[in-house]
Amino acid sequence: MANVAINSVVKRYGSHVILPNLSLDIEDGEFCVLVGPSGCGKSTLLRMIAGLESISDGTVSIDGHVVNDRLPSDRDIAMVFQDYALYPHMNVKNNLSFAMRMRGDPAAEIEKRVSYAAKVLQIEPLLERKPKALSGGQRQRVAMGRAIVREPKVFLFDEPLSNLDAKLRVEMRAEIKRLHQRLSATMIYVTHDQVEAMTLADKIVVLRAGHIEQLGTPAELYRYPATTFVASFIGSPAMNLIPARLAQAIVGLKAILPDGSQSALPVLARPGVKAEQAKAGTDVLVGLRPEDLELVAADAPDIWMTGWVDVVEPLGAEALVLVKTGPEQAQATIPLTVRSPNDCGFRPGERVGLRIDASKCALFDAGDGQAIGYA
Amino acid sequence: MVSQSSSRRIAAVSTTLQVFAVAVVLLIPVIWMALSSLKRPGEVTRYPPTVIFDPTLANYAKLFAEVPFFEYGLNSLIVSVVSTLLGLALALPCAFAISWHSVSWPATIALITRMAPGTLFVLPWFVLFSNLGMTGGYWVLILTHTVITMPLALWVLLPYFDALPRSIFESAFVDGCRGVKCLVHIAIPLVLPGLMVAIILSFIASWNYFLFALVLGGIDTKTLIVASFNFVGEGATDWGRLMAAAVLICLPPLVLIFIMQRGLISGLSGGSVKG
Ligand SMILES: Nc1ncnc2c1ncn2[C@@H]1O[C@H](COP(=O)(O)OP(=O)(O)OP(=O)(O)O)[C@@H](O)[C@H]1O
Ligand SMILES: [Mg+2]
Repeated sequence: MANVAINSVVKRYGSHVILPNLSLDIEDGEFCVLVGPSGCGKSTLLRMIAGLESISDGTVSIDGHVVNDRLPSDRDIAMVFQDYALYPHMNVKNNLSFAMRMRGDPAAEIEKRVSYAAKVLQIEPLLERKPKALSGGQRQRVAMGRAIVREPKVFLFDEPLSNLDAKLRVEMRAEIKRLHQRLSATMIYVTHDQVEAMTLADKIVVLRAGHIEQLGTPAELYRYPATTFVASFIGSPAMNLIPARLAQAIVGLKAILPDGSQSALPVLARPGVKAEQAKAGTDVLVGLRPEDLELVAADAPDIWMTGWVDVVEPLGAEALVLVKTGPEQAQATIPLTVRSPNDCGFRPGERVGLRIDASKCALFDAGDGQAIGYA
Repeated sequence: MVSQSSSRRIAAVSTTLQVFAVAVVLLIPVIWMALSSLKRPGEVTRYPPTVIFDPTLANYAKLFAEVPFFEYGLNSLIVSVVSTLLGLALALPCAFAISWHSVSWPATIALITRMAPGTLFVLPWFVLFSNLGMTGGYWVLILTHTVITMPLALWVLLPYFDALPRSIFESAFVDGCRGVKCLVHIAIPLVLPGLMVAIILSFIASWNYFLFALVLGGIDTKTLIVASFNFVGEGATDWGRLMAAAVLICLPPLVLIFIMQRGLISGLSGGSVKG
């Protein structure tokens, strides 16, 4: 068990900068998920922690020791690769015990840990098989077993579930979470799947183009996204971002909505937001989660805004209704997603009213995408 | 429309026919050689060649009676085996490193030694090794033959290394397996089919390499291929005996291929990655 401290780390390939300057602390026993779009540098960062990629500048410390110059095998980490990287010529048992055999651990200890890992992962009947004779999910388990057997200070996962089909992915996700609860080891997990991030993480780190866009608990990121990037990245379907213009300055905000109506928003300015960032006339984006919008008849009282139903997507327990809004139907181009009960009864093309839970809204600067405040 | 099963059958038949045609072309000289070695002196040169004749082992008996055939064979074996092993010992880590770092120039340089004809090397080498007092010994033949076997093995092995997923080796690094250990525990088992091909080709190349053995070898280290050249006489060539020698020279590589054949079955790396 150990904490991981990443201090002003830089990664360059020649003149090409992948990570300009990144600092991050991961607590002992924490499940930290690095999430972000493809190419943002998640794998690079993880591989730098593992020692598979050189560190151009800055330091990586594990358990208080700077490990920049240590070999991967001397960092006391275990890594689960996206493609599992099992040794094809060894049976499952030898795959599991390989690291310990390389380390020269006593045979009895190896035997004990291999059978423990096999039991935890329910791969005991497979121990004599070669990887070729395993299904994708079984290979995934073996790859995790290989990490468990080592009892490392830190587990590193690089998109370990992305090669599995949807059902197996959900199962293995729970398996990994169970594993973390059982071992309470420090785990760093890379994914570009925000659902995995939300379900697994103690702490989510959202990376974008090599820098940390925001970090926090899943609930914090969901409720208080720091930028429109995080707002649209975390949560599925994404947060609605409705372009509006401030009619009145920050205290007791009032926004002019796309349909021309005005709305008071109970938004409190974020600490550090300057007055001129939220003065009347500023273009903003009103952020609302799909579940905080409600569809009602267009002539119902206290509606927030009106729009036209575009598509209804029933999901079984609920339905997603895509609504377009604007000053009039022909110019209704701004899309909104509303999470609604299955039997909402609205037809495509129908004019509808939207009610909101204003106590859940967020406000972003339309220019740089930074949050101005939250309700 | 041709149905799928019949078109597949046509493909199978045509493949068989093609293999058969190639086999006939390749095998006729070999069969001719084998038959000639069993013919009496007058029969060998008869035209058109006879297929039905009274076979005799007289050529083989004469061969073993008149020349120290086994000693020559042993010389060939020593030179070929050691130069094959030496070539592999150099080529394996070399191929691993070239493939891992994806720098190709060392491989290209290694190939240059194979681009130039042997006659270009043999003169300076003769001077060099004479001065070192090495001509006529085993080591001069082993070293010069390694110049043939090493690039050959290197180029055979490269695609096998290139085909291995990087993550397997990275996983091995994390597991504390690097350098020679990694070569032994991970790389060699995974390129085994390539290794078999490299062994066979290196051995055959060294076994049949004539020039260096002729110029740099001595009486005691004469290889089979050089010795059999002596049967081509100034006046009359004893064709039967030459063919008998040729048949015997072919045997060791053939035996080697049969031994290695099982290891040639590829697909060893299956199941390492993906689902
Ligand atoms: N060897 C390299 N040389 C140059 N650039 C590289 C090299 N390896 C990676 N990169 C670049 O570094 C950036 C980050 O790559 P990285 O693999 O960390 O992305 P990622 O966030 O893991 O993406 P994905 O979700 O697709 O796996 C990419 O733009 C990639 O092109
Ligand atoms: Mg990646």
